[in-house]
Amino acid sequence: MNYRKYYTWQYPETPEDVAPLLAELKESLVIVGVIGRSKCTQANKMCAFDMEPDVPTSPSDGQIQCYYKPGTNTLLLHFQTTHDEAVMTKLLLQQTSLQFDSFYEQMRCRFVRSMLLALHICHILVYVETSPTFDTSLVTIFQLLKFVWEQQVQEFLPQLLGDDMMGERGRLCAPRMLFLFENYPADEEQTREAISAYEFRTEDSIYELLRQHNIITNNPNSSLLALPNNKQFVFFNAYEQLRPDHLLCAIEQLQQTMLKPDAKEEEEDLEILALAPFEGFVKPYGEFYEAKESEEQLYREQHTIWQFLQRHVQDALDGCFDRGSFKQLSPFTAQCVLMNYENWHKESTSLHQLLLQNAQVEGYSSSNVSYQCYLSSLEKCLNYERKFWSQLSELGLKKGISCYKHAAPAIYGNSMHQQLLADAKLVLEDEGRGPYTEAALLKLGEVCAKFWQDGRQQCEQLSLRGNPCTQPKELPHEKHCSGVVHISSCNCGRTQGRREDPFTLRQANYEYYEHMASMCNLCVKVKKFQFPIFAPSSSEYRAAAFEAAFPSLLQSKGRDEPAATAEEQLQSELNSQQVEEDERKQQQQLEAEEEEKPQHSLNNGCSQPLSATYGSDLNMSIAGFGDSLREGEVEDSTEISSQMCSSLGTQSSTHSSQSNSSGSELVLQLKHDTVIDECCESQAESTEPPAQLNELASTTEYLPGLVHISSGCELLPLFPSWSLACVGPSSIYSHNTGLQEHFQSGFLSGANFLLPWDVHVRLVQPHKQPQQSQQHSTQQQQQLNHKKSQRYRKQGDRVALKIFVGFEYECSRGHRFMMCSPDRVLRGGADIERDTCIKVVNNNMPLYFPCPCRGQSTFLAQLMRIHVVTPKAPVNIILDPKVLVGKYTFTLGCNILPRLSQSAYWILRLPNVYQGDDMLIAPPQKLETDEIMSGGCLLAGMFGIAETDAADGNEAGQLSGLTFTRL
Amino acid sequence: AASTAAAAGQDGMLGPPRMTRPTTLLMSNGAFNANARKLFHKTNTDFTVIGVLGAQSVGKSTLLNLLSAERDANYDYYGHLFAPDADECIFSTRHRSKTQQQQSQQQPQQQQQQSKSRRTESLQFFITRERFVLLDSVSFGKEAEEQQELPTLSLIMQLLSVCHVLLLAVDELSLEQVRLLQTALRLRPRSPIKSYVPGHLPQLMFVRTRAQRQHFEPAWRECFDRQLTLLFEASGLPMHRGRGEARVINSFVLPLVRSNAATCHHPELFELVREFRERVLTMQRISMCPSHDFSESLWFDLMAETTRKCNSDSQHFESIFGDIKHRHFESLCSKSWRNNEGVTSVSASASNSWRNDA
Repeated sequence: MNYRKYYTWQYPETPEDVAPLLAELKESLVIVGVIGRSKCTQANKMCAFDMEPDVPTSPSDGQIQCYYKPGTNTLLLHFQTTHDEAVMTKLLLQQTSLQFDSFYEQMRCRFVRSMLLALHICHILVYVETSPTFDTSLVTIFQLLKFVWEQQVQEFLPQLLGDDMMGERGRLCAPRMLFLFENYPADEEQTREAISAYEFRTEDSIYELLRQHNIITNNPNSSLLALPNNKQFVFFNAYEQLRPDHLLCAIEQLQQTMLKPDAKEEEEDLEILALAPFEGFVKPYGEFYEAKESEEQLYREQHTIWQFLQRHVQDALDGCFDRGSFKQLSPFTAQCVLMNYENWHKESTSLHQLLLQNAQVEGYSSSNVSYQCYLSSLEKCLNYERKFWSQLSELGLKKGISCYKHAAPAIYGNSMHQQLLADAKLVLEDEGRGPYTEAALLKLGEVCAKFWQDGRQQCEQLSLRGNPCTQPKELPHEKHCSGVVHISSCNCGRTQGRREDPFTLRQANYEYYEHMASMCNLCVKVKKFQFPIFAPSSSEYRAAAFEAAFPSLLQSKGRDEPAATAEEQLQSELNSQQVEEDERKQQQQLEAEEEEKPQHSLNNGCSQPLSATYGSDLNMSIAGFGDSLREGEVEDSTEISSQMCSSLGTQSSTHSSQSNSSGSELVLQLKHDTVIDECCESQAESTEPPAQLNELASTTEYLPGLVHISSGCELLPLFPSWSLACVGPSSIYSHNTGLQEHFQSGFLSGANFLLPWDVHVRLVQPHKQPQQSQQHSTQQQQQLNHKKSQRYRKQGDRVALKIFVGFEYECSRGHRFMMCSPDRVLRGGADIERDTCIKVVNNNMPLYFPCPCRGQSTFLAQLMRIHVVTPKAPVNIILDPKVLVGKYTFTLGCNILPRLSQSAYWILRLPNVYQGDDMLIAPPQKLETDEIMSGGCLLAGMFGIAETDAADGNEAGQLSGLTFTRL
Repeated sequence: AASTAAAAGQDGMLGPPRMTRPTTLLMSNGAFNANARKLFHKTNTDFTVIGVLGAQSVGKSTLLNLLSAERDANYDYYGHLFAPDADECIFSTRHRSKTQQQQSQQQPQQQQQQSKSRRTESLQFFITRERFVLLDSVSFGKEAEEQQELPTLSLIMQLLSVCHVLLLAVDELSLEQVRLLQTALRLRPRSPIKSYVPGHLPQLMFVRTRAQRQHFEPAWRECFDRQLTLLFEASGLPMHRGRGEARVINSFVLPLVRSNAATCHHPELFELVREFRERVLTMQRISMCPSHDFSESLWFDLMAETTRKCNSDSQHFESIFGDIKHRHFESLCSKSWRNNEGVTSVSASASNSWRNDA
């Protein structure tokens, strides 16, 4: 092709030298549009036509380049669209961050607009494709085009253009679509047959696709575009190397030349060559010459895009354009408008303005509704993918919601809600994909939360054990209920019962046991040690300072009003207690001289009424229980107690004892007389008016938690969290059989033994030993000798005591077991050795220990009871348990430590739930074996011993209570 | 497949036989070749699955052929792997041999050309001596009988799910391709098997195949990388290499070659292949199943499961997609397109139905 045999200019300006040439053509001007894909930086799709813009331009969307080659009757319009890689790249690089979906839409929409214009102002449209196969996405483009054209363009064009319309529908004709494939597949044979066959095959598939989607129809007027029926409309460029890299070619040529070995031809050849008249003579013309005349070469020459195009142009000029385009001869009059350049230019300019330029002007508005729609919401109209994604999310949302609702029970808590929601989210994500899933997930969360809150929410007030209340939140409920049931024994340990998850401290530590006591036939019979409790002086009393932190306590207060008043009845008893406390204060100095007290709050209280009484109608032998039985009776009736006072209360001294370093022998030293006198005096004084009480214990504020060593004595709890009871005579326990099920139920086999503990005590008489006392003690000793107690041996003034001790743990499933050391569960009698008990008594015992019961290891047993079988000796065992939990050290909270009567079976029940002043101390979730004490522990040294004051009732108790020895 | 195994192995060695030619994993009709299981090692856990995606005749198979074996410096890469009459291709790049066979069998020309038009009919695999599992797939926008792009979707979903490394062969940036990949990313199964890492994605490497001289210019490469970043960043695919300052898009430019020799813009072919192999084979491998005993045969099970799931999923989504597309055009057609009645009614009914459930 001859270079520069064509004119090229940028649309819409027509160069002056071309205009007359075009005008000459008059009505025989065929407009050919070239649109499609290109890879080169110039976005030039005219290479196959051997044309290129004369001045390099930077490609941009919507730019139209005109080419006119004189003598061809064709005006070529080269459209630059977003299908050109260069244009797309340019637009892409303008973005800073990219939302791919919208970018893609935008690109497609721009292409559709350009294509629309091309379809209106061209007779023939050549779609250029760089890949060797037909791009199926083009079908979608055509579909979209069709709709835009039918629904929008056809509506607004007549209105906007009026009479200026080209043809009937504002276009020249149903434009004929041709496809130019720049690259022939490399591995296809480049023979005439192969190329033709390939072209035919592609034609067939294109035709079928377009028919299938109704893009071409039988009616030329309503068809978006037309394909020629009996003419080839697919062209493969099989021979020409388009867009060669000229620089590279030059370099290669240079290299070849440079590397070319010297042409050293054979001597014979040289001789022959010498005969030649000029250089190059008789050299063959080469392949080209031979092939020139062949059919193949002929085809090659004819197989050009110009030839191809020219056939279609001729159709247009002949006016048989449309007739040939449709398979059946249609009854519709074919319409093909040939215009002269001037008219065409006028029309196309206005169309260009309408279809392309106005859409790029921002904020351009038109009064025409459908045109406005075309301008502003074309992207939206074309976008069915968006619909697809949102449909997926909606489907997913629907499924997610129904999954949630399906699985949701009537009432459930937050954790359940979260679990259900997570499941529903998985279901949603299974279906809902794409950009709208995030929103759908949020929506799902909202809907499900609403569904849940709409009457399906649980109260979820946490119980003291951390279980949420399962009652519906909407309905007001008297009592929280988590549905969790623990199995727990009563105070005396005989009866096991189901205990609801406690929500208040009172429920946990008091009410349940009271309730059980009424059902247990042992509990009703035992007499319990009375712990000091709060006694309100008026109806307006409150928790001390901590109520904000513990609203549950306030709730319980309201409900527990009757119980509180019941406690008032105990005031009289309390009064005396307070008096004694008062008295104790006065004594403190004296005591400090005598012995050092380890803890300030454990000061020697006096005459705390030890109400442990044994109900004799138990079904067990009372043989050898005489003393303690009598003692119990004594305490029961004041008459006898006074009698006892006269007989035994004369024992004027108590034995103060000091730990003896020599083994387990302890020394009990009798006390001085004067002390007693003083005490007596103070006791006389102690009948003070109750006004004094207020100084000691508040009657308007109570302690919200449990009593601990730093809580002081001003605040008392509303109810006792501990329980101490004598459940029977010492004979009730047989070390051979251990604890029997009928007496203590729920023990794991082998773990139901108490540990024997031998304590040696030496009684030391003070120098000024009153006669009476001596008399009495000898009398007592005689008495004791006479009875030949099993658990009490006297050798001189040395006394060997045999005490049985058991540290009982209980898990929430009702398993109970004893421990034989701080880290070992008792497993049968074989575990019990001589010093076993020492390990238990002299070590801190863990508050929580993993229950050996099968099942999850997470079940923690809690130290719940301490069993003590007291010896039959003239001594009292004194209990002073201290439980260290977190930062608190909890104590019994009574000023006079309880003294256990002789030869009896005592059970100290520990609090079930520990609560400090303002904080609940929950049991640990899991105990590590190496940190067994982390949940809290019972401090060692809780046992004390004191010589018996037979009449340690109200009157005489203060005489001796202060002197005990910590074992 | 069975014949390949029989031909390749029977050495009496432990483990599966060495492969000498690729085996079909997925037939073109979608059937899964379960017999291929015996080619996978039961205990070996040190393996890498490398897949390739790309448009037709972009050079996917060639890329895998380069990876299939280590070759010395004198190897005639061009003659054996690139040239039109290349003879040592593991994955056939041209179906010449097939064509010749068919010609000899005097088959009708039409049929022959049909088979020619399909390059790689199905998913094929080849396991190298170093236990790299190479997956060769059909091309991206393969001309399908159904006009929709979704048939290939299933395959892309699959490759995204089972590959450690995914090579994306491109010779131009096609928005359609990106869109297809994006769609596959969204629709791919979340966790086909139990221990599968949810949201696992393969390491992506872009290979610009058939690159011209100008594609080696630094400015162009920079521009190319920037475009890739823009197009793929939001997809979340791991496609970078290096750390910190040196972190760049993992892209590679492979020129259109005409001989083994170096040209002014690229080094000699051996050097190029060496670099390419190094880049691909040393890529960080992100395991899709974190368990230590994720062996080749377990991977094969994953593959089978993924195939099943991808097929059913893509069919499911396809039907929805077709439905939506159809309905969209319908709604446009029926003159009510302006107020988008169709759209709103769909969503309204959807949103109502779950409200009614309550």
